Amino acid sequence: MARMGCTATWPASALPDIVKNSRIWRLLLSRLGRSAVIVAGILVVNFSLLHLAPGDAVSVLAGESGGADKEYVDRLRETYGLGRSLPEQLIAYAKGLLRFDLGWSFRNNTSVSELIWSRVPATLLLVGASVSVAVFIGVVLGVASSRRPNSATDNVISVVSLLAYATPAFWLGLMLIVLFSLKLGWLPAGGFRSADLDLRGFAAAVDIARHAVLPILTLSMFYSAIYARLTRASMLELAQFDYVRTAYAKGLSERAVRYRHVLRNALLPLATLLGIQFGSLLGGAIVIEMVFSWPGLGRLAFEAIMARDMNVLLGILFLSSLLVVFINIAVDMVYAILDPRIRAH
Amino acid sequence: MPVALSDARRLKDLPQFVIPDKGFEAFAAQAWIEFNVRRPELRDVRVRQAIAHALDKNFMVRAIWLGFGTVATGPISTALKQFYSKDVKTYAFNIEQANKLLDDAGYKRGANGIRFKITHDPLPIAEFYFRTGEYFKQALQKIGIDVELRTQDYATWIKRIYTDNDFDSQNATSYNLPDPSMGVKRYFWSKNIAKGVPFSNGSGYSNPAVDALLESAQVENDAAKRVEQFASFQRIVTEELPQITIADIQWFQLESRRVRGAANGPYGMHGNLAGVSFA
Repeated sequence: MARMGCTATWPASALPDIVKNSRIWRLLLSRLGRSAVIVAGILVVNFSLLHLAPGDAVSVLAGESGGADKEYVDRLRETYGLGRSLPEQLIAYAKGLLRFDLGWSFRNNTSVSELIWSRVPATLLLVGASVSVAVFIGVVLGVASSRRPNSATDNVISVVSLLAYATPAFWLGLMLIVLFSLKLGWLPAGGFRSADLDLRGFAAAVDIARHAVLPILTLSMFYSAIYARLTRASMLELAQFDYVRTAYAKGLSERAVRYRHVLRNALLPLATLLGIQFGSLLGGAIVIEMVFSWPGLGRLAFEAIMARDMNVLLGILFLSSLLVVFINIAVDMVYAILDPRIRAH
Repeated sequence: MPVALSDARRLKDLPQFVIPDKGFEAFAAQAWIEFNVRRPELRDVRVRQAIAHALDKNFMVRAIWLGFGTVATGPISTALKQFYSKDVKTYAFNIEQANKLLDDAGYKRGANGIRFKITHDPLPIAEFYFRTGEYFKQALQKIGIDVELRTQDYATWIKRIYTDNDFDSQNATSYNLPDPSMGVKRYFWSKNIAKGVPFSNGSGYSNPAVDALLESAQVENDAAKRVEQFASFQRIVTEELPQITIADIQWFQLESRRVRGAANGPYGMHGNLAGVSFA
């Protein structure tokens, strides 16, 4: 990416510009078109990969209920459409998708979309809050350590982020439970809310927040460390550029240069990384949700794998891939807002 | 919530918990090791009997089941009092006799002390199945049979045992249920060798005499005759050993002392919560 001698300050009319800019709309359309092909590819790959796993939903259902007879098992397979060939099953599934029908979960005896929607809020809260916390902590620490490279502050932040980066999330989660739930007894060890269903309004929100602290802390730790390192590196790199010297020469204060000129450009690689990492963040959420019994999509996916509940798994993977594709389109659009040069080219 | 046996031992000594001594009578669970009798070595009944002699069931109940059960003699649990028969062939823990049976069967030790190699697939859902597998491997080492332990997830295990029959030996538990025709027949009746059906006759064991006994016991109206039929069945099956029954397992529930009326029937945790309250 060219970063030659051009200051990137926020033009007051940025948004109207974007709306008027036909380049951006063309960009958006071409990205959407490409995404449709990608999503269709993902669907076929997911479907084929998942069916490589031995065993089917019926063997798990009948096995867990302690056994069954042949007629019953055969009838279940017939009812669930598991007797058909794989291409037939794929076509039936794709036809359903075109009608926005994600299918039926035979294990949970409810429609897949209903099941997924019931789990979305928990995962959205976990991942959304974790990303926000990670970006906030990462940027604050990154800026702080880039002020005086190799100073005591910088070294302490480096060591802490290296530790956070190197610690496995599941272990960190378990240790936080040991410390804050078992020893200190400050926070609940797992779950989304307490069994007291009478909580309403503010009290309910506080209850959920108390449950959310440890999972969010655990998931955001690793990413905070990456973002802190990345922000520090790009801040230091950008500080060497000519446009920064120009800005100082204009007589701007150090504060203004640091935040309006250097930090704003340093956020570009962060936005890129955020888009790429969103998929792995959803993946990381599975581990965190298992550790903290968090009733989100990740745990639903894990349970669906163990139970060979293919419709649920396909639905989650399909929606996740949609989400990742759209987040990346959104990141491309955010570049255009952050950096006027991208609009110009 | 499943409780590990080791935790249960610890928790039941705490003042706030109790393990009721009743509540699962309708199931009569048993732990067993099953052979795939289609395999050349395991088709020989002397090999299966040798393996039975090599297993110390007392040790298994103590070390693996932590005392939550009793040593079993055959495929019908002592919990089914009217059907259980003591008059069966039993296998004392005796390594020499096991080695002799294997020698007689023609499986001499090779240069490395190994007679032959088999695989073992524990039911992959709880620790005691893995522990049983590990003990099985160690015990059979002493009689020159090399055991390869394999792990997989639940659905893969079900397919391996009951659809592909791609195994040599496995261990699991199952319910006798209130009548042997419900919970025991399925493992030994040759017409229940049914691909794709979990917990059917996976061993491939087939004996017309056993089939006849099981089929007539299913429709027999004379209770005394049924008892007699199942006694004959137990004699034959303990002689031929498609399964080695290890233990009659006492499933249990761990309750808080504040809970009232949870052990309210013979169905244990499969029952309902209609009579449950908090003190």
